[in-house]
Amino acid sequence: MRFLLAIALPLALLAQGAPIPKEANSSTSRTASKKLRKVRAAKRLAAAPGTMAMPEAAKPAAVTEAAQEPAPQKEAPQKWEVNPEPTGTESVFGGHIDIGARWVTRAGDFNTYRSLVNLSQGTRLTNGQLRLEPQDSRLLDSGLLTMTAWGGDPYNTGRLDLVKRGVYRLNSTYSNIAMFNALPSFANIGRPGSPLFFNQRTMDTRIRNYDNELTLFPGTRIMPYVGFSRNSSYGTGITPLVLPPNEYPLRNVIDWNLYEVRGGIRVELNRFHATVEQGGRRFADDQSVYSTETLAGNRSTPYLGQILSLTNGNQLYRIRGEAEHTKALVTASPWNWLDLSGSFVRSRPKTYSELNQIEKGRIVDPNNPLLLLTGTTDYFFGNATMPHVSGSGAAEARLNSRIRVRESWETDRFHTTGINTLRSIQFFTPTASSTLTFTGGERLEVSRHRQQIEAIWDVSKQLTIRGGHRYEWGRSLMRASTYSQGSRYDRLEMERQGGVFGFVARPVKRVSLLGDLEFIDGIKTYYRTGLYDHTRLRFQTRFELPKNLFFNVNYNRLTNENPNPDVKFWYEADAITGSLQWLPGGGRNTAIIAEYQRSKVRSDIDFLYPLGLFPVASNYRDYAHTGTMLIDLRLPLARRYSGRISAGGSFTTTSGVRPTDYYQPQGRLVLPVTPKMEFFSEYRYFGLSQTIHVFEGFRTHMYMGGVRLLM
Amino acid sequence: MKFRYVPLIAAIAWAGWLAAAPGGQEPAKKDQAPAAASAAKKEYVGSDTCAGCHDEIHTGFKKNAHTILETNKRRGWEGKACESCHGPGSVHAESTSADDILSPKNMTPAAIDQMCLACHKNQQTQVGRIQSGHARNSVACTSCHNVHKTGEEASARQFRRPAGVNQNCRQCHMDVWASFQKPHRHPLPEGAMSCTGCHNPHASFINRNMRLASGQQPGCFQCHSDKRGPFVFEHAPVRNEPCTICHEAHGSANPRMMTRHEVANLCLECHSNIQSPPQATTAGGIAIATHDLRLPRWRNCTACHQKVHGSNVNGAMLR
Repeated sequence: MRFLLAIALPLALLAQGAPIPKEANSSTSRTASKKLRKVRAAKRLAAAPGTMAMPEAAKPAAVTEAAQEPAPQKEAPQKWEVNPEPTGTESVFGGHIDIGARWVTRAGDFNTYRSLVNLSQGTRLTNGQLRLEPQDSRLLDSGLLTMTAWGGDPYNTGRLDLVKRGVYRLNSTYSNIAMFNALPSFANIGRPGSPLFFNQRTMDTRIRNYDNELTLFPGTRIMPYVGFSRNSSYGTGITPLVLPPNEYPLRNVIDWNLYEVRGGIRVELNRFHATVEQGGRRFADDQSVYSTETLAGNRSTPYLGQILSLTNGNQLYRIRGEAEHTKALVTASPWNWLDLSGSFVRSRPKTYSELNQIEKGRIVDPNNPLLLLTGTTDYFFGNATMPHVSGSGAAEARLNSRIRVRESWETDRFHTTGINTLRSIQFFTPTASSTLTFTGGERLEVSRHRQQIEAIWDVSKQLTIRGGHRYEWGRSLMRASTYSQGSRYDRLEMERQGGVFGFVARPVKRVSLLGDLEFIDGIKTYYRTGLYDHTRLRFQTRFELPKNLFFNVNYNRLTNENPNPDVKFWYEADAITGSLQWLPGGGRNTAIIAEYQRSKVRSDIDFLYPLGLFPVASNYRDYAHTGTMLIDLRLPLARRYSGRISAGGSFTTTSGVRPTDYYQPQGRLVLPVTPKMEFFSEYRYFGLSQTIHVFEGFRTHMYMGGVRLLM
Repeated sequence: MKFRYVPLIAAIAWAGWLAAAPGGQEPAKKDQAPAAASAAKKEYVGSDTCAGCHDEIHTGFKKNAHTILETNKRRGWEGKACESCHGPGSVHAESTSADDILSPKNMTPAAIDQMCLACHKNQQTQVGRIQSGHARNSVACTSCHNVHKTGEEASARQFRRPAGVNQNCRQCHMDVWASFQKPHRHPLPEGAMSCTGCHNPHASFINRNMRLASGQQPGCFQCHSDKRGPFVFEHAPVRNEPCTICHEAHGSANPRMMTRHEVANLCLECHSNIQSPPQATTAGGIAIATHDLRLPRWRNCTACHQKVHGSNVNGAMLR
């Protein structure tokens, strides 16, 4: 019913006498280039307001090429039809704003829906773009403000670009992203697949990112710049308070923010460029975990004949961090046949942490499992620092017009040092207590280096091949497991070397092929699942067939294997993707875009079962089919009046250890009302079902109707 | 044989050969400046001549950033901005044949890059270009950027919208885009993020063209600042392995974009190590015997070990 209303509303308004302009100069539009139509068709699919993944249709390769060609005569938009692109480059002020209302009907698990989609009903500014290009202004050559999904949607973005050529450039971006996560199947301490014990790691927060950068152009050689960014999160959630051998889910208030300022100067000479930047940041994380009621916790069985409980629990974190960084980037072309580049970055972040924790109830002494306490109070102070230095250098030598040799070298080293003091007061009775103090230190050292040399040979205009050698190595010192029999620290090494190969072929004008192969031999690695003996293979093809038919195929494959007898790790992931785009007549009246992917992830590894220490195999399998499709049609409703309708959607269906079906079909109707106004109506569906975690399924119908106001 | 010296030796050999090769520089110079390659026969005619036929481009070009070439004396192309890329146009102006003018359509990716990078090489975004995958695979500048378009169709404006960036990247990286159709993913399809929020398509000196945040940390920490640390108690893989060791950064069928359907599998695949000879050592450590995986409460490691990205308080990352 709501869907019908959403469609009927614009039609009813149209029927109330919206004027229809006369068709004029139709011969002009007939002479428009087909290639320009291709560009507009692809962009029309992408520019639809409020659309999701699929309508951001991929431009065919030929569209990009077409964009490079001289544009034909400007097409006069005389007909009364959907304006695919708010153009008008000559105007001083322009743009568009999309305003609409959404209705949502929902069934199934609301928490899962909010974790994955989170779109709610109400009035929204779904899309907006305002452009100001004054002809003779001392302050501004161009200004552009773009906005998406304002008014209550989980993702809001905004961007402001101001430019005065030769004077300044200011870029500001803002994003507000809802981080809601309450999936019953994650951190569920109940029976697997059971929603009886809800997720104990939930969050309902907002991450806000705000970034500005102002670049000044006092000349063409030297450009100073300053930047400021803020990154913050605030919200609530649930998190467990861990008091072995029990855990108690408590309320959690999350509040952290990070400020960063940076400034630098860029020097651009004809053959040499350098950027030097200095920046600093401050970080604050105040987390509060609390309860006021009596909790039994997750343990359902008595401990030493006693029922454990928590009558009052509080954790107050106060974490502060600060850091500064210095960055230097250099590129140079001392001779025409040689390019050089290098970078050096140094930072030294520090963190100061403080925790006050109070628990009351019937709890177990963490230092004596046979002793029950009435309460504990912990005071913790710690700090950590991480000096970090990175550098890289690269050179490209063009031996002749066909052969290039590239050599690159990277190094990265840091260590983290942490020290801490814990003062714990344990209450045996409300009045009898003992105090314990612990101090400790932590250290993590990491160094990583990489060298690669590669030769690239343009065999002909149709074929380029390349090949080279890569060597990576590193060392790490890290804390060993608490239950390790050996040293307190593990000293580890990483070493890999192998060949890299590739080719790019353009055998005929409408076909291109790309191949990429890395064949790496692992010698040492840090972790059982880390990259060891691995191979990466990528193959891309592009076919541009006659009649505006484009066909692309991609194939990717990664295999990794650690043959050590105590590991026996084997991993394989591959995906083959096909894409078909049919844009007859440049897509002016019809456009069809379809993509399909078949992917597989398979992994086997042995591990020791903690209880008994006998080997068990962990086998992971994930087979996925993913597809998207969009059909976009011009609707010739009257002789001089047409709208557009599009339909399609995407699906993902996986089998393996977590079978999942996820469907997102959608449809959209756009009708012009006046030269400055278009109505749009949209239907979307989101459906999730999982064979094992049935309780996480949901089905959502979503209707939206609104107007696009063109300026 | 120390493998680490192989590239170094090869580099020295190449450098020696380069230095010894007589006249080796000459062809490279020719390639470097394609616009000047046939300058002996052709002459510059100025942008006004170009506008005679290509009026649409000429008009639009005035709102293009490259129009500064037309007026700026220091750059050496005053009054002939068109020919700064397309080369001298006198022959083309006479014949009106597309074969008589340089066009990216007819050039190899390497030649296109040379043409663009003649001016843009020395920019901050190009540091690390030599290491980047796009440069290795001969992805030319014009594969992503268009030069003549204005208004909504201009790359400069298109790339200011996250959806515009994603649309462009998706052309080649279809497999990655398919991952974003899975239920647990970053919000790229909604246009809330763009590929370039995490990746620098021009260059980066860390793997996968990852963008850097606050100095040299991976770009993931730009938004997930609370995972940045440093922590008093570090979880080493967060520091010396990419985030993808546990997460599928693009999209996954598993909660929290994990690489495994259950937390226990993810943790135990590392934390189940037998002490090995030094040359085969991998980190981890065996989970203690009280972790009876037959009971569900032990199968969700992060219910207790909640600060898995690093803790400021507890070595076991319980708080």
